Amino acid sequence: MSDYLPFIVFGLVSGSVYGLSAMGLVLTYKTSGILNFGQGGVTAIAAFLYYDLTRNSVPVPIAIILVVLVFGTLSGLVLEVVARLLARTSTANRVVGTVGLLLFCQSILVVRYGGAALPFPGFLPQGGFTVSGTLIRADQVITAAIALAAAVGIFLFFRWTRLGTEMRAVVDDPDLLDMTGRSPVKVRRTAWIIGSVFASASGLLIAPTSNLDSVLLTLLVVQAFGAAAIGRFTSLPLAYAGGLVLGLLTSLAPKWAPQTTLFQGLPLAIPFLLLVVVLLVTSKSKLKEIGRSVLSAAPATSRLTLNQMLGTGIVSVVALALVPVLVGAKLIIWSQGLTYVILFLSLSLLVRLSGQVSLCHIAFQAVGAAVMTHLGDVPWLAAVLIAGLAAVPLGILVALPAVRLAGLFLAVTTLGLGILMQYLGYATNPLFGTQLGRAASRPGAFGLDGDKGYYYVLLAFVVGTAVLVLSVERSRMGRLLRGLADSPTALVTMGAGINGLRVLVFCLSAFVASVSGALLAPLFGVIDATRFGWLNSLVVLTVLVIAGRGIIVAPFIAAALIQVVPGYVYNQTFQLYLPVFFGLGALLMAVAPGISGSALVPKRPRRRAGDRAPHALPPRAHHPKLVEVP
Amino acid sequence: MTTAERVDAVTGGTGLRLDRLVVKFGGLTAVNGLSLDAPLGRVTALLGPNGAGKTTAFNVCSGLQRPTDGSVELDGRDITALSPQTRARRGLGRTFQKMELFDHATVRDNVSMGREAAMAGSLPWRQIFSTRREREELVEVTARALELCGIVGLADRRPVELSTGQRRLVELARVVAGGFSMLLLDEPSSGLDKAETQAFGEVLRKLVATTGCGILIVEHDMSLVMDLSDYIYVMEFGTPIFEGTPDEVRRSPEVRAAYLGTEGDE
Ligand SMILES: Nc1ncnc2c1ncn2[C@@H]1O[C@H](COP(=O)(O)OP(=O)(O)O)[C@@H](O)[C@H]1O
Ligand SMILES: [Mg+2]
Repeated sequence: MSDYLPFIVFGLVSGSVYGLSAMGLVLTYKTSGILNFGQGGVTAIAAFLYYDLTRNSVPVPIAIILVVLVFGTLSGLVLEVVARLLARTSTANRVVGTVGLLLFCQSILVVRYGGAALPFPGFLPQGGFTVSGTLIRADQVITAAIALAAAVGIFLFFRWTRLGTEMRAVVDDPDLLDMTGRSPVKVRRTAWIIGSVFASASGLLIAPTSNLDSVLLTLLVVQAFGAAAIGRFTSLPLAYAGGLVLGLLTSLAPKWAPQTTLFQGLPLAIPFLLLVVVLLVTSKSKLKEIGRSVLSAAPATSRLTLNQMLGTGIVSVVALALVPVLVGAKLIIWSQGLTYVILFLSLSLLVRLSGQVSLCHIAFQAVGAAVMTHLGDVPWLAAVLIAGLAAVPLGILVALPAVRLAGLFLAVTTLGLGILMQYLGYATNPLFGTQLGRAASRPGAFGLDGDKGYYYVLLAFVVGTAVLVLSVERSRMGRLLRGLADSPTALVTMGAGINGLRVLVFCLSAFVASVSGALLAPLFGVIDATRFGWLNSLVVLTVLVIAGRGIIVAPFIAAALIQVVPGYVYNQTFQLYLPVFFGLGALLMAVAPGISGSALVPKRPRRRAGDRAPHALPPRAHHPKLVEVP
Repeated sequence: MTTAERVDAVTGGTGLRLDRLVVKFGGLTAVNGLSLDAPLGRVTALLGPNGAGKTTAFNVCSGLQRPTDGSVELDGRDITALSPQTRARRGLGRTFQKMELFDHATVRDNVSMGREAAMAGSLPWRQIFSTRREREELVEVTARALELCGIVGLADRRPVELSTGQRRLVELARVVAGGFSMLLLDEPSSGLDKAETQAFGEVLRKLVATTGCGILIVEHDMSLVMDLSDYIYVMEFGTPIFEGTPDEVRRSPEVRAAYLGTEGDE
């Protein structure tokens, strides 16, 4: 037992912080319908802010107050406005908005403090006492106590204050928020302030163990997702308890798992595994997505005629075909750009056509690249195809539990999968293994393995993929997907099975993304896992959103933005600022429909005349007259 | 197959039958022991004040809501456990009180999807590819449904540009194109003016006459219901309180009491 005690203590302490963070997440989600992926960003900024304040000799207690209360409150106020703007938009748009926020926060920290971790000045007393040979430090006790106090505090607040009662009513039944006689804005604002204060506090509490690493701190939101999943994104006490469970599992797992390098990433994979299990076992009615999607975004349709499209296509292909003649030694940048066009086309297919969001497309790309390096003996085209198919089981794994529920949970699981792949998957032998860099081959015949030859191979693949996406868009599948975006209910009551459809398009997208990886792999001499970090999946999503709505055109613009332009601008600062722009840009694009749809004016009529809100009283003229009085 | 042929293929069935249906939402009993028969070739009406549980009953019929107790039968076969899409493929179609249109597609594509959704079904390759035969059938079926509902002129518009009355017709045309043998229409005339309602009634009559399908309708416009239906069920607070022909309903003291009850808050 005493063997386990240190791990249990450590697990409970970190679990307390996960619980604190998860409560903030659930509270804001339930009151506003926005699941805040960006909460990790708030956490990270809070920790860095504290670091800056104390380094500039602000006394510790004041720094704590400034960070937790002042910064927490202010960011809560800002987030409430963001949430209100996002609230009436599509699920995909809501996810993109807060993902943009996450990316913005994380990358601004990298700009300001650099990418390397900084030591975090502990601020809690370090002394302690021993229980059966295990030292329990005072800061651990205090951390756990703070989280517990927060959980109890919120319980009492719900019980004993008027605002708390209103808020609890909303948390229990989010539909209530639309009813009159309550103060929805006040309830939401309070929720966002509490949520952000919790997020900031959890930053200060977790930083002593994680150090000031903007990525690790941002990742706290994933632990919060795992913990919140145990409470089905609904129950605050269960979210807190979920945090403790998660903390224990995370801390004990390395002790149980085989001591190989492979399992080093296990702690970071646990929240994802937990999430998948919960999604699998939870019934649909227990896990409904909250939120009132009203301004459903117009699904992308290409309005050009076939001839116009053919014309534009031919001109673009000719222009791209001239690139090797014109750019000289920069060709590799353009080749890389082409592989990214394919990646973006796959994402465009998913996001624009089916309204689903993936936060792990770079992981699919990585699978394609890695598998490609194992297929040197297979005929080249077949190898690309096999490498592409390799991501499909993964796509099924992540899409199957989530699509049944709703688009939001698909986004959550894909984020989890991306992280799982980076910390656990890439190092396995079917993928990159532990080798530093693996080689993949280019097609052998006709001089296509030269840089110019291979560029044309890539161009051919780009054309092929664009044609594929266009034909999907114009096929029955495209029509069904557009229908799905407008009314899934209508589609099922007319006889189409939609869950299979969603999985199908997700797998198709994963396949194409994986092909892009397979094509990317032989571009440089060797390839390794470092370029496939999970954050890059968020970057590509935000870039695609910024690049516009065109289902075919946007991928080209996006690839230029992320690959070609940086290849020509050597400026270090520019490179650092790019993800900041992408994050902020995506956030602004996401809230834009909310601004133009004047979501800030609360009284916007939600339905067209003639369609009654489900629970609203009918207009007088519609009162039933069962029989005419004779 | 044309719409009429498709209906013929399933006619001979008994239509829709609900048996002692109960639906509870937590403490609230929204439907309490509703039994009802809606045969093919007939118009059956389900009446009741707002909140009586009519839409809930419809949701149970089409598989969007699981009943607490009781069963749903279509053409003599128990469909209580089937998914919404399977029920649709067995011939059960519906419209919605709060319309569920494809707002970003043209009216023609909306109507065409009424049939194509069932063609797509749940099999992956059917969801990706359509055959030439199917495409021809879609064009034909769509044209006929647009014609029957009198909205040929709106074919290239989008639902968001249309009036409520026109949108109701689009939703009707969509289930007509679907060739369902049994239609559930949830307050199809709400938001329509008097003339539109009358025209709507004509369309329904023509539909039943030409295709032989059955209709179960929830409707607040009494003249339309009395005119159209062959048989009427009345419920209040989830509980069935009366059933009979339009004449019997008109004379019934129970129904009048319910009516007087709702008159109180007018
Ligand atoms: N999903 C639901 N959850 C809880 N209560 C519901 C739900 N749907 C309907 N109700 C309630 O059930 C009752 C019947 O509603 P409904 O079937 O819409 O009535 P009608 O269509 O006859 O006007 C109402 O009191 C309504 O508030
Ligand atoms: Mg109703």
